[in-house]
This record gives sequence, C-alpha cells and structure tokens, in this order.
Amino acid sequence: MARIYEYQGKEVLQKEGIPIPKGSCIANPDEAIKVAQEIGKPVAIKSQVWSTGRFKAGGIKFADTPEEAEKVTRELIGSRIKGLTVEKVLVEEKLDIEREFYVGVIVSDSVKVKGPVLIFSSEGGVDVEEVAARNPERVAKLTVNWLQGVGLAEAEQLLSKVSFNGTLSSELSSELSKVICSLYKVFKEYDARAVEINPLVLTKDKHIYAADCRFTIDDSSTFRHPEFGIIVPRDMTREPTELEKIAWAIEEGDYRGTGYFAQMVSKIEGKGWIGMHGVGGGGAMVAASALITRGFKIANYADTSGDPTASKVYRVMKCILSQPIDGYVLMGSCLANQEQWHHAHAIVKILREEAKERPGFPVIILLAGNKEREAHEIIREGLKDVPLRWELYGRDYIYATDFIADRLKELMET
Amino acid sequence: MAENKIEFETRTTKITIDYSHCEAAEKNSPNPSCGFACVKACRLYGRNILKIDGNKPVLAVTDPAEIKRLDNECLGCEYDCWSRGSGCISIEIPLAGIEDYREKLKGGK
Repeated sequence: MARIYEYQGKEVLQKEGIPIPKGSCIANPDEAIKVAQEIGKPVAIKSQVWSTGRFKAGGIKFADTPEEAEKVTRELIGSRIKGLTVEKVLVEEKLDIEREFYVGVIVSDSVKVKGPVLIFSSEGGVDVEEVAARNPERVAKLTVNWLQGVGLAEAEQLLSKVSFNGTLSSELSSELSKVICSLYKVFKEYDARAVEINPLVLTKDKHIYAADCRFTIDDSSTFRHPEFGIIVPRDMTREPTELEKIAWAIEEGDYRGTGYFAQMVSKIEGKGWIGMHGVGGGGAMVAASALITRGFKIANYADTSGDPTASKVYRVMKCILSQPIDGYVLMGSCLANQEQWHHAHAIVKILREEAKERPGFPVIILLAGNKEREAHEIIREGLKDVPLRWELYGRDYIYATDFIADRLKELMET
Repeated sequence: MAENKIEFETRTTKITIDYSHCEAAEKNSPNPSCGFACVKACRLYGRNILKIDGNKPVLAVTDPAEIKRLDNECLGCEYDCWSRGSGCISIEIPLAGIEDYREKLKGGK
C-alpha cells in the first residue's frame, strides 16, 4: 500500500482535530535554527523515512537549543537509517510525556472480518503486537460496522475493554474517545488501509498529542489524494527510483494485464547483476530463489501476467534492459493461460533492438502455456540471426528453475 | 508522400505502413508474395484493424478514438510483415523519459 510520511500524516490528523506537536518538516539544515526558535523549547528531530524503529536506529534525536538542532539536522540529512537515505526531517517540540497509548485503525483480511478494526492499547510507544502477546488485557480491538461508522459509543466501548494502570479519568476517557472517532474519520476519508498513532501521548500538563503517525493508503485510491504527491502508488519503503517512475507510466491508467517493474536496489554498481522478468508472482518467487542461491544479484523484479498487451511487455523489458545488467532471464515458470504469442512478439521486437547495443548479451527465456508452440516459433524465427547468446525453454522446464538458473550462470560465465 | 504511407495511433503506440516499400501496394497485386501477412496477423493476433482494399492494407477502422479503443497492440503486423513481407511496417512504442535515462547511463559509464 502507498505510504505517506509521518509529517504528512500528522498534517491530516491536525486537520481532523487531533492535536500534534508543533513543528515543521525541512529538507535544508539551514532552516532548523529558525524552526527550533519558533518552537521555543527543546525539540525532537525525526528522520522522515518509511521505517519503524527509527529511534533505536539513530533516526530520532533531540536538541535543547536551536544551534544544536541545526547540528543534529545536518548529521541526519543525507545519512542512512535502516538502509534508507534521510532527505527530510521533522523538527517538532519535544513532549513532556506522562503516559503513552496506542490507537490504530487497520483493515483486517481475516475471513471473519474483512473490514476495518479499531485497536487501542494502554501501553504505547512499543510494538502493539508485543504488548498483545505479553499483556493482552492492555489491548482491545473492535470490529467496525462500516455502515454505522464509529461514534463516541463505539469509542467508549473500545476503551471499556482495556485495562489501564489505575483508573481512567472521565476527562481523559472523553479526550481519548474523541481521538478515536477522529482517527476513524481520517481512515475513511483518506482511503487508508492502516492509520496508527503510536504513541498517542498524554503530557504532564494533561494534553493529548499524536506523537507519531503511520499511514498507508489503498493503492487504487491515491488518485483521489493528489495532495500527498504519491508518484508511484505501491508498497515501497523508499522513494521510487528514476527508472521506477518511468516504468510506472506503463501501468498508470492501463489495466490491460500487468506490466510491473520495481528495482531491488536504488543504484546498481559492479558486476553480476541480472534483469529478472517473471510471469506470475508465485513462479517468480521460486525462480528468484533459484537465482539468489547461485549468487546472482537481482537488479529488479518485473511481472507481465494477467494477459498484458505486447506493447506493455515490450516496455517492461525495455526498462529491465535499461539497467547496467550482465544478463537477462524471463522466468515464465508457470503454465500461463494468457496467449504467449503476445509475449513472443514483444520479446523479438525488444531483443532485436537491444542486440545492436549489446552484442553477445546472455538471454534465457522460459515461456510456457497457451499458444506456447506458436510463441516459440515466433521467437526462434525472430531471433535466429540476432547476435545475442540466447536460449529458449518451454513447459518441460517450468519446474526446473534450478536448471534455468544454471544455464544463465553458464552463459554469463562463458 | 502523404498518400504513400499511413500512420495511426493506438493507445500507446504509433503504427506506420510505408506503401513505398509495400510489395502489394507497389505492384498493385491481389496476390503479393507476402500474402497480405499484416492483415492476416491483425485477424489472428489482433482486432481486425486492418483490411485489404485496392490491393493494399488499409485501416478497417478509421475513427481514431475507435482504433485506440479496439486495438490490442499485439505487434503482429510489424512482425509478420518483417518475417513474410518487406518490413514496411514500423511500430513506435514510446516510454517517456526512457531514452534520456539510457543516454544518461551511457554517459555515466
């Protein structure tokens, strides 16, 4: 599911009346002093990356003065937290925390539910699953009647199932109930798949704040929310690469089959990288396993299943072959019911073009299923005089991904 | 020159048939050696966008919006013209930004 950053999620929460710490998101360390001065108290500087455990990984730091805030911001921006490059930080007031809670709305795929579930925990700031396993009495869930929605009655019902340390004052209960109702409203209006506040903080001066926010949006709904600037609406832990942004145009608005492309790394360096192309996710996973165990470095994952047009297959392959790779494999390790002659036409067109740029380039094609015989005839004829080192396999090899991987290894090492 | 080729756009491609290199069109032959491979390919792999008229392949669907709606971008006409005919059909499949990206990569190597 498409993600938005913590600062974006907090802006949404604030709009819906859930208090957030005062602060601003910046990409330039020079701005940190001004922001910290405006806040006028110690600040937290939080790396805006799509990862949990930022604090332990050194992605969240504190500063007592504006000058310190600038220094810390300079250290964080450009650094890597859990493999992700920090491009922005959120500089916000440091909260004087008395208690921490967790509140979230997720979509449960359980066959008994298949809908939104409200979750509240009286122990926040830690993984809610960990709390549920250790102290289940502190965590409560409520399946939402999505026709009815969530009002104060549902919120109070949820809180009544939670064990708090001591009693829950009526004022605090009222505040928490309002947050729960607002959070559900956010979940619904922004087409979220999950929206979580962890921790939801009660400060020593008895104010409630959403100290963190994790927000994922249904991929198919991102067109309704241009304000988030989501370029490639997919579940990614990093910003899309330039090539992924280019490849997204293959899929955007075109539902004629799948033309999926995603890079495994944001930069390909050195030798031994291969372009991987699957037909069907399950077969592709088996294929990837065979490739990785032989020491291949997979530059990308691509999939052309669901009966895509030949033009889509061509463009996906063009993206794969636009990487500095040392070999290409089409691991169609399944008996596909789509007419494979469309793949064949695309394969011939792109490889005939590509051969001019990369004579001798190793190519392994495993293509099986409907119209397989005709597809293979097209490929054999189309590539017969092309200066590539290529091999073609069919249905007898759909379970032989190890063999296919070995063939690619041999071609690449020769 | 304008009559010597046809160009039409599908949803994501541009197809050009250059009659100056098309044997059927050049010879005005009802039985070219290619056997009107492009039209047959469109019937087998595609959506009958092409037909034979005046001894040459022409559009059977002329409304540009209908071509975009109907054509399944099979690439069959280009391939079959190349393998059985004179290779007078070319299909461009643009992908915005990809050529600049490839050039940049070459420059960086």
